[in-house]
Amino acid sequence: MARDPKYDILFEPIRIGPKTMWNRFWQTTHCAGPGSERPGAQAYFRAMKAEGGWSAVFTEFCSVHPESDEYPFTSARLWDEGDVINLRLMCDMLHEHNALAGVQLWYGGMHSLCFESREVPRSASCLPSNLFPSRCAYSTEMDEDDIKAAINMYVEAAKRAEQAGFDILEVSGGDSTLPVQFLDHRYNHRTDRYGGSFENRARFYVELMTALMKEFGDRLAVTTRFEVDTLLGPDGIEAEEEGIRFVELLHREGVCHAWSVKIGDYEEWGEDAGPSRWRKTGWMLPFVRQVKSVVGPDIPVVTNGRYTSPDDMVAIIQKGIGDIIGAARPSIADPFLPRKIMEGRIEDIRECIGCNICVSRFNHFGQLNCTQNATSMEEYRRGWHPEKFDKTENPCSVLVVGGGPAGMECARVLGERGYDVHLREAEAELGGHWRWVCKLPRLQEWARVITYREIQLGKLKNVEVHLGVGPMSADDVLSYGADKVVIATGSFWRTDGLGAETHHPVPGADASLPHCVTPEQLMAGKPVGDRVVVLDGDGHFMGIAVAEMLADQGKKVTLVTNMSEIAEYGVFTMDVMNNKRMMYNKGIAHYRNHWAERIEPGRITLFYLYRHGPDLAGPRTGHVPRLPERDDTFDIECDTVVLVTARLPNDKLYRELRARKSEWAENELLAVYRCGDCHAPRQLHNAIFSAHRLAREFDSPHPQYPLPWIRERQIWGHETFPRLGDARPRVEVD
Amino acid sequence: MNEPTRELFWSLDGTQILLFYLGAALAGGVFLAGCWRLFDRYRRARRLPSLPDLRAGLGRALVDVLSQRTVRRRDALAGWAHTAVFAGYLIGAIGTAVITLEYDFLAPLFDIRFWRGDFYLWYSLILDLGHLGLTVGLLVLIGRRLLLRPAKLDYRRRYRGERERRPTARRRWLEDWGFLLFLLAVEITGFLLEGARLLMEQPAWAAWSPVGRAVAALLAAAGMDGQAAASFRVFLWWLHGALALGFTAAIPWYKARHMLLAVGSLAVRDRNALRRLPREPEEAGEAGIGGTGDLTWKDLLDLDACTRCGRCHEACPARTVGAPLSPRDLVLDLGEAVRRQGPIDLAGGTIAAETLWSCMCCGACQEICPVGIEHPPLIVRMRRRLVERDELDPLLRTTLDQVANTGNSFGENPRKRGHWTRELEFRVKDLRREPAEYLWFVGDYASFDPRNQQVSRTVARLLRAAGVDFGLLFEEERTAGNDVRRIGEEGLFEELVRANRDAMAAARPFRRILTTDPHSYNTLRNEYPDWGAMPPVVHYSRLLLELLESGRLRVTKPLGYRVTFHDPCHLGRLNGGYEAPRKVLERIGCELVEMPRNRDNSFCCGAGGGQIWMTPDPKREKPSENRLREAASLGGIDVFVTCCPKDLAMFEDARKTGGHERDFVVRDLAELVAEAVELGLLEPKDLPDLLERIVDAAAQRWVERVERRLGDRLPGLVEAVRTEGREAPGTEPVPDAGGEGGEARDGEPVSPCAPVETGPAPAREPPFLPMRWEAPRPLAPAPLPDYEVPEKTGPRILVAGKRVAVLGDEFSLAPDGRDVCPEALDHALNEWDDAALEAALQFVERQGAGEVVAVSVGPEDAEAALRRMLAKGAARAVRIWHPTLERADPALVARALAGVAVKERPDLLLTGVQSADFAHAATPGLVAGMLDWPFVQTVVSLEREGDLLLVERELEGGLRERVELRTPAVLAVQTGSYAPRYATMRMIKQARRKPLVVLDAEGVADGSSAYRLRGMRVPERSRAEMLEGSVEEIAARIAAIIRSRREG
Repeated sequence: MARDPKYDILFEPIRIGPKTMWNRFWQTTHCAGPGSERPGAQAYFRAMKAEGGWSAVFTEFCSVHPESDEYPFTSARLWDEGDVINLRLMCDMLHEHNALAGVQLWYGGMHSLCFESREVPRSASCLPSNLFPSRCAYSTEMDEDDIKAAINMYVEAAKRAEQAGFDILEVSGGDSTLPVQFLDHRYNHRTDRYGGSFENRARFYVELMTALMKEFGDRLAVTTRFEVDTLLGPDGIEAEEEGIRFVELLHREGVCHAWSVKIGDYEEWGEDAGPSRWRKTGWMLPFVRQVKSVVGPDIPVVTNGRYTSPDDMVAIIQKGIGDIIGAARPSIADPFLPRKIMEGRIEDIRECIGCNICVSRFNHFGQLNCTQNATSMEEYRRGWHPEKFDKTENPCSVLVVGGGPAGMECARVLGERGYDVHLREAEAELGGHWRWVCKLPRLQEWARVITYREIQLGKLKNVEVHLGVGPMSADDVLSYGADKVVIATGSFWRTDGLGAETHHPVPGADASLPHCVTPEQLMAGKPVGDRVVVLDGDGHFMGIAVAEMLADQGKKVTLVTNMSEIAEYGVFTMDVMNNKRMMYNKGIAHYRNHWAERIEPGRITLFYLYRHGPDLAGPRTGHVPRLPERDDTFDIECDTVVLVTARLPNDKLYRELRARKSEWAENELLAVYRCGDCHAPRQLHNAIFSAHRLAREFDSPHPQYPLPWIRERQIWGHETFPRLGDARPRVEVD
Repeated sequence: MNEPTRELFWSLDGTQILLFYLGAALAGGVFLAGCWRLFDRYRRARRLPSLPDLRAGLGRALVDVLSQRTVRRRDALAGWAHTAVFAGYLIGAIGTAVITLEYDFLAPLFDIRFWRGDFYLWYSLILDLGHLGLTVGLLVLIGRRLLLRPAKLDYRRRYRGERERRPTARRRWLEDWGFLLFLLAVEITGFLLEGARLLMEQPAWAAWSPVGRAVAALLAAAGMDGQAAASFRVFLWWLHGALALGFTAAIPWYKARHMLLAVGSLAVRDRNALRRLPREPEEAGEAGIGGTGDLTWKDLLDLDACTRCGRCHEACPARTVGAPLSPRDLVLDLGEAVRRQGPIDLAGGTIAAETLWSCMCCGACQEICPVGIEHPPLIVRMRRRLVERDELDPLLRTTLDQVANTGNSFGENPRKRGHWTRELEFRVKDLRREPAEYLWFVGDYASFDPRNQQVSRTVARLLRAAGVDFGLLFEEERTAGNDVRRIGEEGLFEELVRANRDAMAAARPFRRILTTDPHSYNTLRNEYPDWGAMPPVVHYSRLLLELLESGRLRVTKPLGYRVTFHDPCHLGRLNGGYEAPRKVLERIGCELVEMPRNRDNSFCCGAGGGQIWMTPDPKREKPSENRLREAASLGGIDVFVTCCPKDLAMFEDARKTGGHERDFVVRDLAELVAEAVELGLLEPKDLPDLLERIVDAAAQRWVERVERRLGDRLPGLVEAVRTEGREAPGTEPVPDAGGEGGEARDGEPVSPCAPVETGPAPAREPPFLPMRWEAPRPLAPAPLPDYEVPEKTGPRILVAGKRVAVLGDEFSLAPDGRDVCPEALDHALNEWDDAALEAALQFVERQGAGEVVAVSVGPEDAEAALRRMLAKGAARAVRIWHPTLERADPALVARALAGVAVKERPDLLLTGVQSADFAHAATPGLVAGMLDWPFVQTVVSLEREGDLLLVERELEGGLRERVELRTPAVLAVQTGSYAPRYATMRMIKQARRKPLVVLDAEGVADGSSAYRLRGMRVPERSRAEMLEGSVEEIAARIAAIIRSRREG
């Protein structure tokens, strides 16, 4: 179908200084994990977006010098010739797809831990890092020569960027990097001409932009990503005060070809990459609009805000809020988003659900994963393309049992690959447990997992979806007549209170009794008393979401967790701050580092995890001494305990089929596999990945287990950059 | 010494004279050898398919050369300097020839001498002045190169980032300077020689050589006496002689060869080049130009004639925006390649593919070329080879595929071509049904591009207001193919020509073709006639002018805008239509400010030559932006006017990307005219008259009825009547639009455009014998051949299942208008029949015995539905088919089903209530009627109690009715109550082995059809309105609507 002309505006070229984007889609700088160390993963991951129609594509944040060493967080680096070689592949591949290659020049200053380089970073003032308050991270205060050297670090790195083939130099003026450490009075305690008044504090940022513009402005686009508001009120940069004053100042100097706008400092990063639980599409537009109103029509402004709807994008441009649609997460969930709009295939867009699993992996120092797009970061190492599938050479009939996310994904990919698939779902609707998960507070957007797959399955002529057929028995499966069977029957919450803390059931916990419920029982309508304890041994979204739902129903809710943070995975998805604010607002009490001793009708008995003495009790018993004589447990009176402790795979059918392997041949059944939670109850992105991978490798000799992939690491005996004895790259200005 | 003359070989003895003659002969030999070398190459090169008209060409070439008019265009300084050089050289050459004539031929043979006296004096004066001109001209040219350093003479390819001269460029640069300085040396030594002679001889008539005398005076002033002058003169004589002979000898060997070849290249210049591209010769192996061997002698002549003046380089829009193409460098590279030995790969080799794909085919280069080189046809011919090798931009490939598949470059459903007319207040004539004076050939952009659709509607309204009788071909029109041809896809172009000509031939009569698109205009006017005569083609700018001049459109509101006008290349430069749009602008009261580059020097918008379909290089400025900057620099422009849909698209875009949104608006000529004649204020009386429409519709009905009667009685007559009734498009001479100075085919007889070949005859319909209502024959079960029917083991239920068509999102109707194109359809088992099957299966399962038999009427494809039913549990299947059942009505289907019932003797016959595609809901009732069985419609449950069947049926409003009846019976099952089961994979596999009988139903179609499908159409969209607001507001709005409807 042809594109609706109303979207034409998204495909109008736009100029960024000496460069031109062929459309309005800009993949903002976002972390993914490959850095400069895994050139293949980096290049193929970013190039997929260019192929999908993003016309400006950036690396992750890119350190300009070993003084800004972010290890173990993975940044790109432009420290030496080796980095140039590795990043050049990405630039070349982007150029093949007509996209501009962008690099975000980053100097972390006081927040750089320098765990790898062990250098001393420089900053405006010598202050402890608020981002890593426990790491004893300090930077040295710069004198004017240092300032010149620091600017020169950027210039030298930009030269290397030019060699690598980058088209856009974006100075990070967000995430509390060096320019902000000068600009923000919180970080700048200087009294010289780089501190004090607003103009003085802005001086470093302006000089830095001027130096880059002078050196590169005629050939490369020189832009900045500016946090126009640090969300700290008068304690930081406020959009309506110094934020906009700075935009005006730099705009007057004419040293910025385009503005990319963000909000929140490094601590409040979760406000910029806001999870959908807290921030809906376009939450930061009021901030972006302010910047646009200052820079006028000639300087493009890049918006942000997790857009997946082309209508929203058109509205942004037409209302003059911004000129370029910047996106990170939507481009991960669907690298082909622009192309799908271009080709009029709106219904095929795989929309980001805002779960922030992507960010959580970076925060674990790992490689990015995406719930919606199982192929992300697998482009190079597994050779997967999100929109292209190898047709199978041995088409056979496959029965997929279970229409949850994993079953749907498996059937979809098998269907794309040309298998004859029947997907059978016991219930009358697709989605499995995810259908009720999405009914929990704040999780509505997560239903996109189901709708996308439902639409795609409807388009596949070789996939039949059977709904409302009830649970299948092993006999049903054996007599079904399929050549191969995939079991994707999911998992359920444990009814006995077993959790990671003790690996034993909690005495008295039994969800068949009225005072204990599991999340699925709760969602199915099992009654709950007025005083509820949520026993959260899971740590992701379920405990906190159930707690909020019950609080909204007027219950008195207490959240008990064995972890050191409530909903601890939220630290990585950056929900943590808002989780806490929500609990504070809604009066949800909590105990951290506690677990249940026993549950009885009307009460739950808790204990503190570290109640025992620190001395070792000798070799005979070999444990830290218990102090049983001290009555250190305590009771909380409650009517109902919600057991969010652990899950069990629903693999009864799978095991029964395995046990009856001798009957397969007579039923012409060749193989039985499992995927998703039925294999192991993990986070959703892993369930979908396991289903996707199984389907991708369905022709392999033993598809239940993955084939090898390409591992990128230094191979012994090859050249290193730099070599020992090389001179330090010169940045000092004497 | 009294009579003015001079001694020719003064002071030379015989040996020296002999030496000179030997030298002259040597020079002549070298000159001739050079000429032979050139000629020899031309002799061996490929021939032209047909020889150009040499006589007219030569005449024109001589005028061009002698007047030097082509050289002076757009560069007056260089042009006049060249004119002086040319004239001086010509005079000098004639002077030398005159002396040779007298001294070597007339005097020795006939003793005739005329080189003395008055003749000699005038001769001296003219030659003196001629050489003065030549010298001054040379000095100007040298000064220009030294001081002005025109960029067009710089061989560095800046568009490729060259900063240094390459060796070839350096050689060319040396050659240029060598040529100028060589000639200057000849001149200076000549004047010095003359000065020395005059100083020595001091003749009385020295005043007749004013320059010579001045030089003599200078020499004298420099202290030279007669003695010194004499020895100086001898030295100079030899020097000058050697230089002059050397210069002559070298002419064919370097760039000076243009002195000879320009006459040739101008003589064979094709005035239609680019306007009408050459066809591929039938016998040609590979298409176009691949290597040097594919060039014709004319190509080689053109390449050799290049003078490197750089005018094409300067004019080229691709080069201007930094695309990797300069026509000058293209010609120079090609020239270099053809002068090397052996075959050389040109397309994609010597000339990079990206260079070829950068050309916009605007013709600016060939138009300005002083020696008549035709660059764009060369480029297009090389592109043809690239296309044949499939070396093209992927976007272009897609577009060409789309054009091939859909007939338009947008890849839109062809049925949508006329959709822009839907928003008009009146109906636009369909030329396929009714004649009109003008066939409006709309073109792709004007049909599909939303901005241009507005313009198309404006033009339509203007035509309507002026009473112009026009019609469209609607979906029969395809893209005219101008740009497809310029891309080099000759095969596809020919397909398009064929399709469009067929459509025009099949249309009702019309007299002229109107088009708003200069691209279509060009190809329809200049290229289509290669495939047979065409009616005159008019560009709407011309028609608008006529309408304004004749008063059919009256300007009621002179606009007073300050406008500038962009000449579309294909209208202006290629077809000379410069004046009509300008006069229109003048008439509607606009102040026209010309851009520096206007008329023949207009600057391409960047869309031509297929560029509009290629991926633009984002690093380069777009030509359209360059153009708008030019317009913006005029200052104070209100409107940027153009009259080409592609221009409009490009400039609207560039206005935004180039940041001119506040400077001016971009509008089409027609939009301004509409404003000036205040089209918006049309009176209702000017709108189509209701009566007219009623009469039209009635007449159409009547025609159809007559046609049907005739068709019923005399099949085949209709075709004959149609063919004979088709009038030839008028033969009345019509002035051609635009046109270069009356070159139009005014006098040529205009004959109807004949189809290139006739299409296949329409498939034969089964004979339709209408029902005789006066004596209806009772419907009866059809006689069917016998087949093996197993013994009954319990209740037998026949279930009729239909494979129904499911309409996709986008669909189109088949050419005969009686069905949807099959590719737009998916197929599935009718959901009502699926419910009937489920009811039957459950009934049999409850009984614990019996069988369900699936029956379908349909071709082999219908077996998919039967297999589906077998998979779900039917025991056997029967398919009934004969080609005469194509588009059978329910009566025939029912006859067939009843025929099976007679054979099978079932207890029940179940069908769905209706089929999802046609929804007649007639078949089960008809079957029951024929079998004389009881019939229950909309059944929702079915039980057996003893001998009786308990049936529940659904009535309007959810009521249920219980019916008791005896078998056999026909039941039509409603959806909802019986949820169909899914077939497992095993059941699907097993169904492949279940028996399926196919019955030949030849006797089914016995003429008892009740109807025949005449046509399908998409109903017009009703106007729906979403009411928003509070409950009260919505209620009030609904009440208002109801009131207005009642009153209305």
